[in-house]
Amino acid sequence: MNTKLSGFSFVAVALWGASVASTGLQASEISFKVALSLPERVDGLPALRSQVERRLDLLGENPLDENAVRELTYLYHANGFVDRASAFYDWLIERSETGEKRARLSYLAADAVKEKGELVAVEQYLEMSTSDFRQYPLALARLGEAEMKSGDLEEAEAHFRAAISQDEKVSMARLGISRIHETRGELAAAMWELETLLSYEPDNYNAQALMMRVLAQLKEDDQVFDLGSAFSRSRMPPVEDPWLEVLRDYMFDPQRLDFIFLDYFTVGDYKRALSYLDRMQEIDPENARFYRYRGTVFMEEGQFDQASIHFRKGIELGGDNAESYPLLVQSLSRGGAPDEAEAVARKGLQDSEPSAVLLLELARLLVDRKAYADARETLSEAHEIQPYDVEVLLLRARVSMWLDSREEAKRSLAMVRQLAPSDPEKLVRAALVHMEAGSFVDALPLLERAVKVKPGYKDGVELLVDAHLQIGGKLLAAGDREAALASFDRSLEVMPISIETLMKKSQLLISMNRFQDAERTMRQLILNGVVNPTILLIYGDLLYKNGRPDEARSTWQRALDGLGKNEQPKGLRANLLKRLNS
Amino acid sequence: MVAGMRGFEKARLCGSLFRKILTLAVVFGIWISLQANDAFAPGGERLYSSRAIGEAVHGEPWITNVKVADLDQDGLQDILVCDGRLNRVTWIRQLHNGDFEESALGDTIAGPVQTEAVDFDGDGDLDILVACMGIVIPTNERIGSVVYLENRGEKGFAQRTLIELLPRVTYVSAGDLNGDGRLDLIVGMFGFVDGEISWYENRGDWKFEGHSMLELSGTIHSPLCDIDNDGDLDVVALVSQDWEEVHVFENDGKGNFSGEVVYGALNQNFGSSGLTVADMDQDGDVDIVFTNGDGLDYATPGPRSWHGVQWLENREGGVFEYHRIADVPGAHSPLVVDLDGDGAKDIVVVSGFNDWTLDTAVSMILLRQIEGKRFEEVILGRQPTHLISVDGADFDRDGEVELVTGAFMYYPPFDHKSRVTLWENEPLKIGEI
Repeated sequence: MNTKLSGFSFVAVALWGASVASTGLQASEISFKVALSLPERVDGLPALRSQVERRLDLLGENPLDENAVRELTYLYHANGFVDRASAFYDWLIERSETGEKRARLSYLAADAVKEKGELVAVEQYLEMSTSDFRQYPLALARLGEAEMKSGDLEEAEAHFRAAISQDEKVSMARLGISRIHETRGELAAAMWELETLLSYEPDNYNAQALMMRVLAQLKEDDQVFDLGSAFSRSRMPPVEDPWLEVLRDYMFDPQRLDFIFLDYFTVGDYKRALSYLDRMQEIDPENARFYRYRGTVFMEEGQFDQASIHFRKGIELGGDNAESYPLLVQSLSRGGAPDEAEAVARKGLQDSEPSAVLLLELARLLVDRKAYADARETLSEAHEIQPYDVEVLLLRARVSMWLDSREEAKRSLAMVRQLAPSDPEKLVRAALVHMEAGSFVDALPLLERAVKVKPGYKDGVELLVDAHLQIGGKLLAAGDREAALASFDRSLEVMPISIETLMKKSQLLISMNRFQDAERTMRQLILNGVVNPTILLIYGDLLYKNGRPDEARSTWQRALDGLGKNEQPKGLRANLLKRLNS
Repeated sequence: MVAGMRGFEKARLCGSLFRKILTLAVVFGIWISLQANDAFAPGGERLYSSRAIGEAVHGEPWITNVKVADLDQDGLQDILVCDGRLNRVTWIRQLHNGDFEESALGDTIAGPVQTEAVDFDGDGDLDILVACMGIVIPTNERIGSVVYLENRGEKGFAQRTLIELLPRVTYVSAGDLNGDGRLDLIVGMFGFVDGEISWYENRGDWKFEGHSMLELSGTIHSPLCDIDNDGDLDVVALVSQDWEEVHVFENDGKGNFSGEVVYGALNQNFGSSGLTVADMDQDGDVDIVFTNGDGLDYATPGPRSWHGVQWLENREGGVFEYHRIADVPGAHSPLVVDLDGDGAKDIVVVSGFNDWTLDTAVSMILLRQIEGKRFEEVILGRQPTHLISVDGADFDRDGEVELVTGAFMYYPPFDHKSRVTLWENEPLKIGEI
């Protein structure tokens, strides 16, 4: 293979071997000799390879070049060659005098070995770091975390408190203390710590999540709901850590940079995200994926022209067209160039592998310009490629309905139900397709499922109420008043205070001469604040018919009192006066 | 540099002799291998032959779990399959040696990710408990549930939801946790922001009362076992998400659990992916084996350098000692089994998130235990790819363990698709891969 063992390494091993063996700090079994060879995995990382080779050459010339060792260590660490990095860190630690410099090295070594979960080694390095130099609160906080992961909560708390005593805004430490309080059932103390943390870091997702748990234990359900609704993200950006910043310049593995880029991108910190993307592109300028990332950032910011430029560049480079083409189409479409978007989509389909996502984008454009038959054909093609794409199925169902292919639409929607039985939003969208086509009965099971999996889901509840109401209306029109009444009742089971349903039900009951029931229904309306002179007039009439003339009279009077001065005597006022004077 | 050049010259001059030695070594190696009948050469490959079983591949399947069980108790091992894409649980039944037939059990089951075959109603046949996430991909909605498929013999399986509106459920197992003679449930709920581990007390008449044990998101697996050797069932749980921890909950026999963290990775992106329990060192207590290989959480899903396999050795006094076993990109679904038949416990692991653009990427690996609690890696397979679940049993009753895998085809390339694959210990001939 391409792994080479440099000749000079034998010299280096001879010089350093004994002292490495004497540190015995870290768990890695890798030898120093191996650490001085070129790692096999750098083969696919030319930028990293040349950096490593440069340092190895320097060491070939001067095996005691400590600076070259340090740089090689950082290169290994920053790019995930943990065993090699820790072997070198041991050597560097061994040669450093106590104090901040050695504390930093131990701290970096801890960061390296934590990657593969070596908790004991992490603790050892952090203990060394904090005993050499106690003034770096993040080292104390991280040691607290390590102790917590080992199950030693008392030690963990002591380290967290030491960190906070130096800097009260070390969120890692405060979060740790909160978690310890929560574990011990000290909920008020946990809340205090969390509120303090969120006062200076309001978007701290971990603190929000923990606070939700604490509030749930305190039975503060409303607050839990409010906090849950306010969650804007589910990731945290990397902790700002000055002692780790040195590694940034040594990171030459785009995949690792990619990971940090995504962290910042996800939390909306595009400035930092782009700084990592710049570096990724510097290392690997021909990587189409990175152009796609940049285009996506611009698209998120609504800069569609800029986004399109980068998507086009990515496509030009090739290798990522399955992802880049659909985004370019989206970008052009959202930027107000649908014709160009369509042309690009067609070109993409010509140039690339069959892509359901791109076909879907094309179909959307076709739908926008009402070319439904073409859209259906395009969507069928997409479905062939990706039979489980819910978006394809939903759009195909809509288009099929418009083209009056109801059976095809129903099949698509049944498949949506199969693929997304617990996704209330998809279920509601599928139901809407049925409802738009007037198939309210078909919409019902989808809406009922949506509301079941997400109780109180507003869109689902409103549509379900409407579906029952519409079904009731159709039954009424067909003359089946009992069935219509049952539908209205089902609607009211979903939403007991639906004004429209109560009104319709009252009307129906009156037409069925069921005045007692009608009165009860009208009373529901009035009790829920739906009070106007017309309603009061009808309600008064019902009371009168049900043998309660005094109550009827006072209700009519209330209606009359509520009338505006402009009400014409010939209208409502006249009706009310007539009743009151009779 | 001089030393390096000398080394190169020496190697060149010695090349001819080296080739001769190499040839002799290869011949000798083959002879030794034949003598010892050692099917698993250390550090090498033992590519199993594989064949698809059950339904044909359509689109990109999301098989989230495979579980071996003789469901019809006919003496032939069958397979329970969780299909996270089509939201159903299927039964791949072994009709007679080598022939399989797949059929759906019950109706739509939302986001099934794990099953357990257990005689839950005590009528002598195997029923099925299903852990349902609702939706496999991330959401914080309380859409998880525990579904029960009651075995009614020739009448098929009747579906009943035992518990619902939970954070997304990733694990369920039955056991008598409070000593009242009824089978209770341990339920691991990944959730997303919310998450939980609870045990559900069986109050009879299909009523279950929940008792929360941990309120953290990210539980992957929470199997029952007697971790402290006191005769009752305890719980071991792998909690991923922001925590990346292993928790042990010791039971006092009455359903009162005391929990503690016995391991935690400080790498927040560790990607914990699977946990199982077994007496790895055969010292009479239960150890913990777990993988980290979740590759979903990245802009481009795939492997990371820290993915791998480790075990926690159960030492005296409730102390667990961490041992990293191997780096395995995308490691999932640790299966403890004596695959080479040498009496020691080995570990089979599949890879759900490798770099599948490379033909050399490994999708299944054996970590073979040799003396001194050490392990050596033997590659078992490269294709099909995207394997997220593995189980094993002696399907053909030849005394050897065959393996079965499920594929979660989440990200491209999709050049080597599969749903459910049976892997047999028959070495492939040259040219077959």
